Amino acid sequence: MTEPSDLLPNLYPVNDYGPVMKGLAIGGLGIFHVFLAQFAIGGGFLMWWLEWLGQTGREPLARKLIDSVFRVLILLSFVTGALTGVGMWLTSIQVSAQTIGLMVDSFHWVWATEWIFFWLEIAAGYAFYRYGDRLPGRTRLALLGIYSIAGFGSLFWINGILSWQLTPGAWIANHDVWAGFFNPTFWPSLIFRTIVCGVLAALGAAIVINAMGEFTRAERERLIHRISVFMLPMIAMPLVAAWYLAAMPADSRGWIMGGSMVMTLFVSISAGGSALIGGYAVIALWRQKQYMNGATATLLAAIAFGATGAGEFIREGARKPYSVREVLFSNAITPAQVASLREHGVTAQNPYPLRDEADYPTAQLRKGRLVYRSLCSVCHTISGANALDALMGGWTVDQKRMNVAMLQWTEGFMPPFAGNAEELEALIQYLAWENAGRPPAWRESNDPATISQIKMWLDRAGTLPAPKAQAAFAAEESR
Amino acid sequence: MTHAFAELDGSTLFYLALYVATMVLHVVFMQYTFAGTIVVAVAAVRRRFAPGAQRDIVALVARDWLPMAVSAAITAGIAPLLFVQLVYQQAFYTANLLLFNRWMAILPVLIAAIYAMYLVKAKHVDDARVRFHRIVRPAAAVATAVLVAYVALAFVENHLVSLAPAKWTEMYANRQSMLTSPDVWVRLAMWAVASLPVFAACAAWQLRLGACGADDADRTTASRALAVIALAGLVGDLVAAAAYGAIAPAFRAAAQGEALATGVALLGVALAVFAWASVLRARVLARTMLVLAGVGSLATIAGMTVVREAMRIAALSGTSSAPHAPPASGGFALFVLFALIGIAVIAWIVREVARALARGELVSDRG
Ligand code: HEC
Ligand code: HEM
Repeated sequence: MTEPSDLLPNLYPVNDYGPVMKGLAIGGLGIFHVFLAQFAIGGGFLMWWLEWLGQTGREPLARKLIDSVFRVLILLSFVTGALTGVGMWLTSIQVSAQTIGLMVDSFHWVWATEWIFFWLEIAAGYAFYRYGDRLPGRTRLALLGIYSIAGFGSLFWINGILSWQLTPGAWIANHDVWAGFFNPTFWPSLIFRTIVCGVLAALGAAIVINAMGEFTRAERERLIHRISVFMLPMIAMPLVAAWYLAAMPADSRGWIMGGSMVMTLFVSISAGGSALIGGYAVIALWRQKQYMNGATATLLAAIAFGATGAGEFIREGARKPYSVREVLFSNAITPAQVASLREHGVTAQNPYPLRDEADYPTAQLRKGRLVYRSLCSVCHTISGANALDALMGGWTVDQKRMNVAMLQWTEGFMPPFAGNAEELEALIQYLAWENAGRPPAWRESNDPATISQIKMWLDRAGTLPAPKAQAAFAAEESR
Repeated sequence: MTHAFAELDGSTLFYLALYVATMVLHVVFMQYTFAGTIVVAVAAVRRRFAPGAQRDIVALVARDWLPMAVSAAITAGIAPLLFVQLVYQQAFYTANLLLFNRWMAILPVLIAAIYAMYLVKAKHVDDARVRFHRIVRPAAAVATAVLVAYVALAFVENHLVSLAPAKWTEMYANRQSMLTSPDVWVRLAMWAVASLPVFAACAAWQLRLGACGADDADRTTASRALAVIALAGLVGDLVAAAAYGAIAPAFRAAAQGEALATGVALLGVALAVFAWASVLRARVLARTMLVLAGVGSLATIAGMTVVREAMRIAALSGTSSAPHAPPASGGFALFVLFALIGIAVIAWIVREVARALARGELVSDRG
């Protein structure tokens, strides 16, 4: 098993994303991928069920609908769904090669198993798409069943790995792949996503039904009422969400439930959007048998997209300061490395120099930039998204020194500062220089008193992340 | 003679073997796609300027099956993508990061390529819109070929960057690419020409099975076209490999070091040349000859994939990016179990479809 101590800081070159925060890259693509993939999975089950209704004479229009919806499903899910999936992988490498490396090392057989499911999905899907019109009913039903189960299988496997990042559970102690896979948030997360699959499939099908124009109004009403069954499990969503929250680490929960404005906003969007869709599905569609026209379905799908998006941001964000909880910080430093980096410095070993070295008037500023690149750039930019300029531009220099030295106290969702006092001062100078508009000359700051003051703050902060740092401090105080 | 693989431990060899096996699968589908887009583009352009030309059954089959082939290439690519990250993690990730935009571009490019493929095969416009025939279809066909070639280029550059740890720092500092190096282009050319016989062998089987409603007359025409494509590719392959060996000593050394793998690859070429020459002479897609051509192409792919690894191991051994197995992890039994189930289910699907089709018309032109 890869021991965290095997991972070196600065192992990989770091690209500059300009004003875009790295996390946004993966979040943005993640929304599309998750939305499309969940639509495709739910769509498979919907087709399967419709095929059964058709073959048993319960729904004479089923066949016609299946042929249309399946086309959309194939065009969207095979092409964009599969490629955004590969895209997620490649983006993860760009954002944090160490994180995806640890995931791949730890769960490679799970991923290899998922790969088999991909094959089943395309084999069954393509066979149905190309030859479905000439296959006997039994085979059609079987193909749709294989397609659906294979699609759900890929969700099942990846869900274990993604939920492990937030709650690795017993894996931390025993490194047992199944302890990590069936971790505390595995089931709530899987059930939640499964419900979403049904909702997206029903909304997608409603859009197709309205767009087809081959059905009479009465037929459309009947079909839409039928498919709305796929939205009913939304009733259970609040319960599953509560379960998920309960299984989350307390600090992550605290953060999304009010600790961070942005996160809380995302939670509200996600919950509000879901409530709206769920309420409409249960009351209007099911109870009152109302008709959902194309515009409403599209609007609801757009809301679902927003809610999915917010959900993905919560998932990505709630882990902070970790990319794998307790094991690896977002900036690819491990908890075990912090103490040694405090001593030896994070810039001591870095094969990758700055690309614009000549632009920096002093060696100290170059060092500061390297510190920023290694420790902060994964979550911050200088003047774009989550900009350090904006966050600390108004602080006094001592305030900056102290708050960065005590980073995990400043905000619990940041990792402890993993460099030495000289590097911290270099970082502060670099940020001030950026804030001043990168002037051609800048004074080196090398006052020994400043350095020893920073050392003191660093010692006070400790090398543990929040909330352990605070707990350790309190224990010390009470002695 | 040096054996690059001799220095690896059993566990690393095991993962590397899985990499090679799944990579061979990727190469088969990828080469069908690569050559297929070229064939379709050439046919579309020809048709554009010689509208009276008779229908080109080979291009029709390729055009019909490209979306499926690219889906298969992508799906097949995921397994080597997993294993390359296990065995060559640092080198592969570093190359990805150094290529950055050029690397990440493969995704939008592939999405565009696939939708362009659907456009090329769009049906309803066949008889109606002239503009579609004259402009959209040929343009989409050429675009598909260019886009897919870009993906191949990105993989080639990524691979060569991953083999050059000594250059990483400088490449990063000065934002260099390898695109100015002839190695990249010669290697890309090697992949491009090598894809032709693979495509020819697959398309020949499809035509034998009646794809796109091919009849005997179609097959006779196609046998010549396919043999020419394949033979040109096989000869081109030898020329490209010689050229690559001349400019890249590492490739030459790997090919010489792995004499067995190189021998298998060359034997494959010889088999395929024999088979296609006989097809060309007899003008029939004879079963035996197609089996030989297919086996020959597979042998070439397998041999070259092994040589490709020998070259990589030699480049990385002794560096911090030397190949190594991932830490032991549970789940292998699960993978084997599902792999067996998966193979059985896919075999069942193929059988069911084949049976149903045997009862009716063979291959539809839908989809
Ligand atoms: C794990 C991601 C992460 C890392 C790594 C990280 N930060 Fe942050 N930081 C955040 C987030 C999220 C915020 C909250 C921004 C907000 O409230 O809008 C934040 C806020 C801040 C703030 C403002 C705090 C306040 O309460 O006003 C400062 C200052 C800051 N970060 C500095 C840094 C520096 C310097 C580094 C590198 C040494 C760093 N951060 C590394 C995620 C991170
Ligand atoms: C049609 C599109 C594609 C084409 C034309 C293509 C082409 C290639 C080529 C030419 C190589 C060999 C590079 C070299 O040895 O120099 C290669 C390798 C590879 N391809 Fe593809 N590819 C395609 C799509 C994909 C996709 C979508 C994936 C991922 C799912 C993928 C995964 C891989 C992997 C993992 C390797 C091996 C890389 C290495 O060992 O360094 N390919 N591909």
